[in-house]
Amino acid sequence: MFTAKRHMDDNALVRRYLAERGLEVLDAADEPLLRHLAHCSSCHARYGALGASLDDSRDLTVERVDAAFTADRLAHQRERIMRRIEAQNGARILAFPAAAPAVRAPLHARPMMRWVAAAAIAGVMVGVAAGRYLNVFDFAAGSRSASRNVVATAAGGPRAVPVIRAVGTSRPLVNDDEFLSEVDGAIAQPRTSELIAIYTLTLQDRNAPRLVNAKY
Amino acid sequence: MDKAHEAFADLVAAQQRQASRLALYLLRDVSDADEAVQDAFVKVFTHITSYREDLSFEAWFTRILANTCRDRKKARRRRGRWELSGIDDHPEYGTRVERAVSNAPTPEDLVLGAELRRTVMAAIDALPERQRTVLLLCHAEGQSPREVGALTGLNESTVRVHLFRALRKLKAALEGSRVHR
Repeated sequence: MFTAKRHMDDNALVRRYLAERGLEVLDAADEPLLRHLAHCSSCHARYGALGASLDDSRDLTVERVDAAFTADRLAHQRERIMRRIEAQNGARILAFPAAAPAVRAPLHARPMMRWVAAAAIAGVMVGVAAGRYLNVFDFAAGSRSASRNVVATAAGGPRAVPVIRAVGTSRPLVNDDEFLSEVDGAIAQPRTSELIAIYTLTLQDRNAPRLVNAKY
Repeated sequence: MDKAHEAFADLVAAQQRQASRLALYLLRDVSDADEAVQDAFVKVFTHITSYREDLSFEAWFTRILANTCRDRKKARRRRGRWELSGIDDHPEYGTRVERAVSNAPTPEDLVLGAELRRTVMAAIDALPERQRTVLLLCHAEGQSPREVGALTGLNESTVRVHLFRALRKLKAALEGSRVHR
């Protein structure tokens, strides 16, 4: 049986440490070193120190991380997870109905629906027909009364019919000159001065004095 | 609360500490880790029907959590482009994990040796990301290289190499601190 005479280097010690924890696989070439470790007090002491340091580092790491996640923080985390899950479940219940289309019976399997539809269509048709009939009736009545008026006017009957004549529409204007002369005429009429007085009283504009003094 | 919710609440209570630890190892930020754990549990509840019984629940859940953490990391990296790299990496302030834990020395700290604690933490924080993750998962959480490989997407032998290198550095740091003392 061959035993290594030289001491183990750091790499060999680390590999041994890992292998002891199932994190490394040692091969046949490592056998002499392992036997050396078993007999060499110096290497054994170094290995013991290395193991203790690395174990300490592991414990410190876990401790540090655990300190970051306190019991309160974990409880809060758990609460938020459950709240999110419940919110998701709620969303599922209120899913858009189109996602799961309802199975509808064919129309022939629903006689009531058919009757309702037929009644609605019939109602619309009757309404349209009645409307047309009434329109025709009104038109006929209107024509009759109009012709009666024409006859009365032509006969010069005793009843005086009031005539309302819109200004400016009694006859068509020939051109612009004629229109402007009509406007001039209207302004020159006596009642225009009264309008100017009212206008002056209600005037808020800063040009008021000029307008008041202006000659119309 | 119905029975399904009660059962799930028990499951959360049983798993959340280890899950939080794992998330913190991967994300190195307490708030981020907290939210990642929440997201992972909600995903588990939502996709519980896709759980295959040939896989252990822990392995399935750990994978979901690791993916959630990875997504968060990516998002943080994207966000980081728009933020100033300030206090987070400042040596005077330490990492976020260290800041999350109170720095005030407790009697227990004094007994155990705050110096050693600081040395260990500094050595772990100084490791490259993969080595640190592998070290924490294997060494602190006791997961096998195969499990860590499945979790991180690394080859099992690569996990062993990272672990070996990380422990060697950690050992060197511890010995260095002992020499200085």
